[in-house]
Amino acid sequence: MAQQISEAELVLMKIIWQNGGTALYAHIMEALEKDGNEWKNNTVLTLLSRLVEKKFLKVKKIGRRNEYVATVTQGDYQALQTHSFLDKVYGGNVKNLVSTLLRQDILSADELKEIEAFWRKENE
Amino acid sequence: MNEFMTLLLSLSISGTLLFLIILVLKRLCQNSFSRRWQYYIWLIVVLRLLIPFTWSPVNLRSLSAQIHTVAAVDEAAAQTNMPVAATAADTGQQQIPQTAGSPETTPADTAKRPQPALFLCLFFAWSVPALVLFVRKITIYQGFSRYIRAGNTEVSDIHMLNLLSDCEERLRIRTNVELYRNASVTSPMMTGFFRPGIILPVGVLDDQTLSCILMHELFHYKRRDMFYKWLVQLAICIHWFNPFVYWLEKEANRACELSCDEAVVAMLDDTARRKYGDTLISFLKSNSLCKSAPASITLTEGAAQIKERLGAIMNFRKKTKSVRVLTGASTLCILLTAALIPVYSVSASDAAKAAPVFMNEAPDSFRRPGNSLNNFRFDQYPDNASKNTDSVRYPEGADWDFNWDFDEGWEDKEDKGPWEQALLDAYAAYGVTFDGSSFYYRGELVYLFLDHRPDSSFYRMSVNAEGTVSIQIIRSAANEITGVAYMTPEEVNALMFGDDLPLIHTQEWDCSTLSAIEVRYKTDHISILPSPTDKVILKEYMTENQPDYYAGTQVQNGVLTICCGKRPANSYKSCIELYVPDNAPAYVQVETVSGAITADNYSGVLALSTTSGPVNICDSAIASSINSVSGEVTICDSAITGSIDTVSGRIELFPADMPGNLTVCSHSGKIEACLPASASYSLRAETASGRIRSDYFDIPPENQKAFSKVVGSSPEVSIALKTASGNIEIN
Repeated sequence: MAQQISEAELVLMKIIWQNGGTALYAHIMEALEKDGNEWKNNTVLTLLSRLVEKKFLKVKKIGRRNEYVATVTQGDYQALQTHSFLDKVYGGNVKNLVSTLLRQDILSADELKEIEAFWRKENE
Repeated sequence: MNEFMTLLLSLSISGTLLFLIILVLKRLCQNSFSRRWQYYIWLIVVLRLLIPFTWSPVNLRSLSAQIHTVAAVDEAAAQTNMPVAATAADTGQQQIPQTAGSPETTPADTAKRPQPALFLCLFFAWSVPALVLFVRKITIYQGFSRYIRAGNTEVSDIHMLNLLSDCEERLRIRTNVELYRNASVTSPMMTGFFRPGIILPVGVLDDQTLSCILMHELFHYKRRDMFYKWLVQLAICIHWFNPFVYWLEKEANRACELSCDEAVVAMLDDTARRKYGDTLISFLKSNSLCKSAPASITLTEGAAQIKERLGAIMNFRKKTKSVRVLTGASTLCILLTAALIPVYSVSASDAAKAAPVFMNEAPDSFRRPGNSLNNFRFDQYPDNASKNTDSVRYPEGADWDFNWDFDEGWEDKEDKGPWEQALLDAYAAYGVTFDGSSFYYRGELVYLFLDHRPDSSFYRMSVNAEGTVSIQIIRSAANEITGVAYMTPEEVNALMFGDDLPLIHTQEWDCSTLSAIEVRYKTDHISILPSPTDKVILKEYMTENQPDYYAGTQVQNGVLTICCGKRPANSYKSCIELYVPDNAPAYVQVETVSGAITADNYSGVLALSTTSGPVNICDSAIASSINSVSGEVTICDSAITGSIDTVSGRIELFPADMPGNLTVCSHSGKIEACLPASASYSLRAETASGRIRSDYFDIPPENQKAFSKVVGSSPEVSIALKTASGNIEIN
């Protein structure tokens, strides 16, 4: 799945993930409105159909209504994106990534220790 | 096989007949029908070409069964008439005794028996090219869409998608239309049959332009133009041997864009309409800058068509009720004609009816009762019909072509042939050629052609509005032709508009309070001249004096607006003169569609824009912005600064002085510049695919695409000449 999700499409995916992986069209529109996004009906439909085409979503017919089902979980997607980001920017070198995170204070030393502890526990 | 080929031929013939009937009908009432009607009417022709049905009060099959004993004899004669001229005639004669000798055979039997091999050959001769053509069209289309699809990137800008969504709602389109950007297209287009997508070229577009484009393309989808186009293609494949189908394709494509424009324009107000026209022009400009325009449903398709489309946009008006009734009535007529033009499919006796169109042999065989093609025999036209059409000869393309001798009055037609030919031969010796309707000189179409005697009576004068040069034949005192000369714009104007038009109406304004003068016309010649007083004066010359033909004028916020009054449809001429004082604070802005604009002896600021009218500026000192699509721009003996832009119009510069920077751009028009030798300036000439030539400067071969030169010492002004495909000549 080398396909990329555009920013606008990601907004829709997030709504669906937050709704537990499935969402009706009406729900999506409601959620968009709540966030103050003024997206037109057809705009949303176009974006949804693109996601379906890229196989990030599946359509289930419930009567005359469409229900959109995410085929990847948010975790899967994040992992996928992290991998491609790592490959693209750091050439697959995790050490460089972590050192950047530390140097830029995105990751504090305490948090790193926490992660280390978590990692050890997992491996025991 | 026989039946099939006959059916095919008769479909082709009846389709062609219908096509010609509609073509004539359209010419007769050019603009009264809506473009939409003009578009869909071709669909009837296409269907007529494709679907072998016929409705006729008498059932041909039962008729032929009733007369089959008579027909059996006729059949034999009919066989000689099959459209394979020579061979069919030979073998057909041998067939006669055989058929006549067995009168009990049914018509269907006789139809199948003769020369099966010949018809098989014919069938292959037809079907192989048809199939090849069809497969080729499909593979070309597939290749094209693959190429396009590879370059597509989805547009994910929410604002643009929302705009598209708005347009879809306005047109009530339910389907999801995709929106792409593609670097390899130069003009917006629509693709896909079932999953439509609009492809935009890269570049920034403002909202209004974008929604114009989207509306246009969505209309194509809404009306299923892709299916229409392929139906036409199918008709071409099947009737590849019929030259009229290619004409039909051209007409249908043109009508397609025009009717689409009409639909869009109907939803726009006046300013938006103007904007829509601008959009068309802007894509024309960019279109051929990159050279990749394979066929598809694109927004723009070439300068000539754009011109027609612009005209249609400007002249848009809602159709009145009576026009609608008329439209309905003629549609009904055409539908009836389409259904009634017989398709000779069933028996061989019908085949005989189709044949006479191609053959003159055995004429007796088609003089049978109930034979409708008898009505189309040319020899049945009354003799004077052909003479009538001859004597009012308005050659296509030429507006009028006077061809008389003043001394002897109208010449007798019979005697004129050789006399005229001798004259044309004499012209040809000096490089002026005549193609039957228009004159050409040095490869250019002649606008005004004049050949007159010293006493100013003329041998021949001809005008073609499409022409680009005006010439006159020079004769010696002994009436011998001695040469050909170009006519100056003044001479042409004097002759064309000159003193014959009476001054009808004059208006004056005090210019001290005016900051701008805006002039909007369509076809009138507009002259801008210095005012003899300190007032702005408008003089209107016209052949008919009607108060509602007067220009509409209005002064608002210091802006004087002058708009064209009403104009009748025919045989009416008018022009205006605008006198502006030299020291006026106002600048003059002129917009016109096809009228000429001239400025003579005028100094001031001018903004001129025209679609196809020529622009002439003489003996003036102006700061200008001149825009023209296909009109020629000529600057003579004037001081000029500012910019000149054309799409295909040729630009000629003979400035006397260049007090400020000057930018001259043309897309495909030629730029000819003759810059003053005394001036000092820095020159830069650039062309994408044209050539730069100069008699004055030495241009090294490697600089034929871009050339820079500093002339004189310490130049303060810069001159830029740019074209995409036009040549540049600097002298």
